[in-house]
Amino acid sequence: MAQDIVGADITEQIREVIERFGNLVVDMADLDDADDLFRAGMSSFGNISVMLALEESFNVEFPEPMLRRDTFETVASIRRAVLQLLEQ
Amino acid sequence: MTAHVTLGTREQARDGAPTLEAFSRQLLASGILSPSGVDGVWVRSATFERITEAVQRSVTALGRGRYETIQVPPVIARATLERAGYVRSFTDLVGSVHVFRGSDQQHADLLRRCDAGTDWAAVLDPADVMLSSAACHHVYPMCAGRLPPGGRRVEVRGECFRHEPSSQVTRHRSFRMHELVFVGEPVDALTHRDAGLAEGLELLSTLGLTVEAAAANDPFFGRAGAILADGQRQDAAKYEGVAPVGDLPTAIMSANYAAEHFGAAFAIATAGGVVAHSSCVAFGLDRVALALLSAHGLDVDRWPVGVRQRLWQ
Repeated sequence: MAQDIVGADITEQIREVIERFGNLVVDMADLDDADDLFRAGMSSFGNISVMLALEESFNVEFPEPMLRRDTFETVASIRRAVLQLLEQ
Repeated sequence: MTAHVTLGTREQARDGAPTLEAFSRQLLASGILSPSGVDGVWVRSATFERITEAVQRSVTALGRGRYETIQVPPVIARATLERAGYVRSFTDLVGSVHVFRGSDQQHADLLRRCDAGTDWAAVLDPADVMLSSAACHHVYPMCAGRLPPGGRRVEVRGECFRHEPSSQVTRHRSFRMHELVFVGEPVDALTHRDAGLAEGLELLSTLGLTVEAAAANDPFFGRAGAILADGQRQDAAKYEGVAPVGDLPTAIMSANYAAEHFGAAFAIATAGGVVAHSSCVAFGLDRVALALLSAHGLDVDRWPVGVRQRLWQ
């Protein structure tokens, strides 16, 4: 239960970062966690801004193997990566 | 950027070709290139220029008269390089121009530093120009606004600088690029890239080079750059034509689809009013010359007749 709440908070925090830094062309509220953020307008530079903002927000650093487009493709993929880093 | 072979001290690669090291030694002994005193900057002989000029003519012929032709200076407006995204993405490759804007007192300081052998350049200020990193960067500001139907094609040639100091003769900091650039409808930009890649590879093959296309990515800087590089490969946005110089596979041309990157940055719209896409086919004139010298030998007059005819007749 506690883990679910933490997970929900993380998802919300990720969504806030994407909304602020992703430069999407659609409303974040209209996107599901599995929707492709690049199709929603996130550019490569938007991707980088999101990556840096996530690192600051969660106090983590994405290691080299995670610095790939598919890490940042959806809210769900970002959440998986952030959870993995937070567990380390 | 494609994988490069680690250099050894061998004279010959396994296939019998001279190693890059052996080729470089012969090249410098012949005087075709001469060292300038700093890594990556080479003094070019008349023989070398004879080759690069012929390659330029061949690239121009690829354009079949469809391109406006411009020659660009070795410096570019600082604002243009910023808008092109180069400063953000290739920070370590940028070359800045600095100038003296000081007073008499600061001039005296500079002279003292010169005499003492200390860092006089610290007295200089950045100018409003940078060294040009890619010839095509000059094209996009020219295209700002609404394009004519069918887009715009520009052939551009110029001196470029990228801060990649290396003693290898294949890696020049100061080099010439000759590009065929298209700006217009998205589908046309992609077609231009693909057709240009095929035609460019064919041209290089007819010059007797063993050249292969390889998916590639630009050498974006840092951790952020790793994401950009991955995205570029996922999009199959960049291909390089790779030919051996000695035994080193070397990128001598590239074909790049920039999608809306430059169109958005420089406010370029298609005739229909949407953000223009762009692509460019770029030849590294100095590297093509080196690949030719490596393939056919240092005595240009003894190159295969067919190659000489294509280049000089």
